Amino acid sequence: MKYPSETIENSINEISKLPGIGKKTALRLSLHILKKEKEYSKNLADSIINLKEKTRFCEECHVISDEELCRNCNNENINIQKNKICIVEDTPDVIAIQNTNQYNGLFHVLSGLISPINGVGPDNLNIDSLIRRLEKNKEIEEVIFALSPNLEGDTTTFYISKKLSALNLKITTIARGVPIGGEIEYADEVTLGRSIITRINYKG
Amino acid sequence: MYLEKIELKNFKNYESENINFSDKINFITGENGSGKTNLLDAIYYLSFTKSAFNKIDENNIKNDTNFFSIRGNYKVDKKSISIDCKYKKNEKKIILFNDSPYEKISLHLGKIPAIIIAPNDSDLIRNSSYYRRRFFDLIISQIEQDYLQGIIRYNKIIKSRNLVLQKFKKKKYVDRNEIEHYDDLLIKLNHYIRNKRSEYLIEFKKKFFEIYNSITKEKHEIEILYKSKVEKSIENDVYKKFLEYDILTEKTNFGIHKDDYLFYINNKPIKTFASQGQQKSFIISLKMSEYYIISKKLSLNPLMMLDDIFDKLDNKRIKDLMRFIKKKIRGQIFITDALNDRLEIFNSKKYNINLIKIKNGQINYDKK
Repeated sequence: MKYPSETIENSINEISKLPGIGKKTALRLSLHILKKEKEYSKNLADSIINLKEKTRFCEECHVISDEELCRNCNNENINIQKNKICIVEDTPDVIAIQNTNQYNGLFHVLSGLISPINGVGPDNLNIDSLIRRLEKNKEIEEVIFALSPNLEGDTTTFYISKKLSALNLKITTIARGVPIGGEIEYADEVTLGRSIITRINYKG
Repeated sequence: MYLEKIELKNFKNYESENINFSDKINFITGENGSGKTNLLDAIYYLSFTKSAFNKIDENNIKNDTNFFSIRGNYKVDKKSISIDCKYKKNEKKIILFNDSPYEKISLHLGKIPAIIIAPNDSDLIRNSSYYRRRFFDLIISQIEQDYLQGIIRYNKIIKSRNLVLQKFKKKKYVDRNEIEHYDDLLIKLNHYIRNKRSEYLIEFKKKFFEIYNSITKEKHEIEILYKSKVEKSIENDVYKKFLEYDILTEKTNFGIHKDDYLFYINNKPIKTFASQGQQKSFIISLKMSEYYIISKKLSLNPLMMLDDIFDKLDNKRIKDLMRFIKKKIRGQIFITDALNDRLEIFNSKKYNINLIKIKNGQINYDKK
């Protein structure tokens, strides 16, 4: 494609590097930014720069954070229950679980799952820091695994739970089952089969 | 079920071609290299999502272009179905069923069951156990989607486990926790796959003996045996026992990926003790049994592709073979042959044959 201005061309090239954005969408976004007031583009650019410059990983739980310790780990939030810790693959999982409003315990981000095919072994994950954290933090009673229900997730859960066996903690995994509002006939057979096996007492 | 029409774009030596088929016998002729087998391969692609001959998709794109697409229109129980297979260089292959994509391509297998009899079928007898496992796996997979998913999962676990074994050897340490979960899963999958394989073979053999005896005059004793180290009940610590050896060899040595099917004639291995003709009869019987078992289990007739089967046969054998095909295959048939005067050998009117002539990737067809 040919563009009348080099500045526009540069902007399109950069924006279209984002996942899911093609040249045409990038052009539309560039023109949209161009139409808005100057402050808009400055705020946008600043927020992007800050993403890289002002964030880091929490030293305790490895979630993306502004400070050394994230909002969950810095002891400022008194509502956090410190007797539970939830193990997740990555930061988006923390956000998703927090937004359910059903859990307000601690988190620990592994930054991946064990997958030899993708060259990821236990050494590449934040497992040692988890064990140190659990040894240090005697308040923690329960470890909840909230990893994807696939080969990689199950392998990771298995590996870490074996490593934790000496610590005498309650170990749980999130339930797998038919989605709420879903219809049984459309659920896949494996999920449905597991839901039948791990059925629960009806509480009225 | 049958394939009504196929549209090819940049597929092998076809640039852009639409071809209509009859629901009975389609006789595809043309000189060597004209594109007869390529046409069969396009039909094969729509059933199996890959080529029967060249597994690398990129190699099936027409020279100097960067994509191919194949579209087939089928009739199944009077309903219309369309299948698309599109591949662009460096992109993911897409399979569409009635214009909507699959979540996983493997879910397509079995939707349009098909069988091909081709010269490279001799691999079944002469080559490694891989070809025999694949032959039987493809039968079961076209009937039971769960079996295919089991095989895919099994292979992924073996690959992961082998990589961990390699790491243990290289870094000189062993952590059983890294491998035990794979072992547990493998034991369950071994059990499932082994039972399916032996179950299907029992049913397969019944038909196989019947077909073999109907196409050969001489009476031979033939046998197919399923050979597996995996017993009906598997010990829970089988992988633990082999771990040291597995690390030494850097691969998993126990499991259904080592299975084989043994073919015998008069109590001797067919590979070394059967004549060419006997081997050919054996292979045709394997394929016809496949046709029979799939059509029975799915209650529909798979597409049958016969690539160059008349080669090296005398006129009498060709006549016999055609009579046999007509009698045994009730569904749609595609036959390729380099010589179209072979049609003179048998009365083509009686067979209601749709003749398709190909020249350099182009079609001119008429009904005979």
